[in-house]
Amino acid sequence: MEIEFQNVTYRKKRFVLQDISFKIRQGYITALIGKNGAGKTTLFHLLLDKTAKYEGKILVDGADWKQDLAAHMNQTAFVSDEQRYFMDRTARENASMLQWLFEGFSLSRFQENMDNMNLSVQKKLCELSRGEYLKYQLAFGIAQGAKLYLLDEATAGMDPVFKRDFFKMLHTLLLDEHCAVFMSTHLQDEVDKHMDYIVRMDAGRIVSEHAAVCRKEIGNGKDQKI
Amino acid sequence: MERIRKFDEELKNTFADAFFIARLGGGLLCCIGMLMMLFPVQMASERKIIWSMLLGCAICANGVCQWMLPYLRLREGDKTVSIYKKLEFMPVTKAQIRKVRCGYLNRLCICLGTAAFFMQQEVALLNHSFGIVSVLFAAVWAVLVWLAGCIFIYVR
Repeated sequence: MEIEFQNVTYRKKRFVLQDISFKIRQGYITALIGKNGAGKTTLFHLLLDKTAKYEGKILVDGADWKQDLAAHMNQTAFVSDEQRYFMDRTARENASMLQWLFEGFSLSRFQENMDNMNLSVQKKLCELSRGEYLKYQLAFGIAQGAKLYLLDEATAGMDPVFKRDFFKMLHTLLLDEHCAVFMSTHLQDEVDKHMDYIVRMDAGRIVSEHAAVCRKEIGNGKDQKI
Repeated sequence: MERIRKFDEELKNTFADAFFIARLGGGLLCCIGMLMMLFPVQMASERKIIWSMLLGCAICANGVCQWMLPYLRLREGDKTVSIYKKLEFMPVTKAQIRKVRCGYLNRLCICLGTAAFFMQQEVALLNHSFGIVSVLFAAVWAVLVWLAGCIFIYVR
């Protein structure tokens, strides 16, 4: 799945995203960086909000994003701190309920992902740590067969070991699932190490979009130039 | 739509306690409200107990809202959260969710309306006051209860 923003302008209350143009490429991690209040989360919500009214175009593989929104949402996983799941129910109960809303959701795959991440499906979501909750969302996204992963400051506050595992998972996803990852971050070392493309935002505008110089570590642990 | 209905089935299983309490409370309120339908409407106008009958309608409408509540909001910790909000970023729209909820409301109101209609006609027959007024009253009563449910679904 490849997403292209073409001169998108979006107003939300007093905040304006202005003339946004950039690409989220399939098979790569695109980083969205910028100060607090630059419009990163608003940009994610623009993609996810089914009723958002904007000027310009958002294209998914050349077709309009809004054209078959349900199908696109079906292939989009949003990983963030937001409590979009039923927090006082277990991971399994959440998956059992929400599986019906996604075409092709696999409960067995969800279970498998949770096992791989050493997470218990019997634990209530409110009892998970922040990192575990993010991993749960990733497991859910993989089980739904997502082709676009939107990660809103997912790695903030993660310890280095946890973060390394998290990126390993992302890189494995990129290699195996032909998906695209779009993540916002504040952390420069993360950008240097893991990102393929960098989109810089300030005050609701895209300041720059460019490829990262190199990606030092990929899923199999080898260095690779891009 | 079918996907939302299946989600609702699972929601009912997962939040069985919330649905049980809502149905118990809603059912009781509906029963109390329906008792007022045991007065023939003609008699009500004579004895000025029409306000009691309207109160019965309001109680029944409240019961319907109680019945529908767990489809719209659920308790999470010490606060209640909107189901629409939880499903905001899922591949279903608010309009689709509302449509399914309205389907449940229609079914419930048809059952209540039918029961109220027959109760009203039966007491009207026994009171020898059967006529267009008793038929219309039962129909208006059902429509009012349904309207209250619809507004509740759209507002919550």
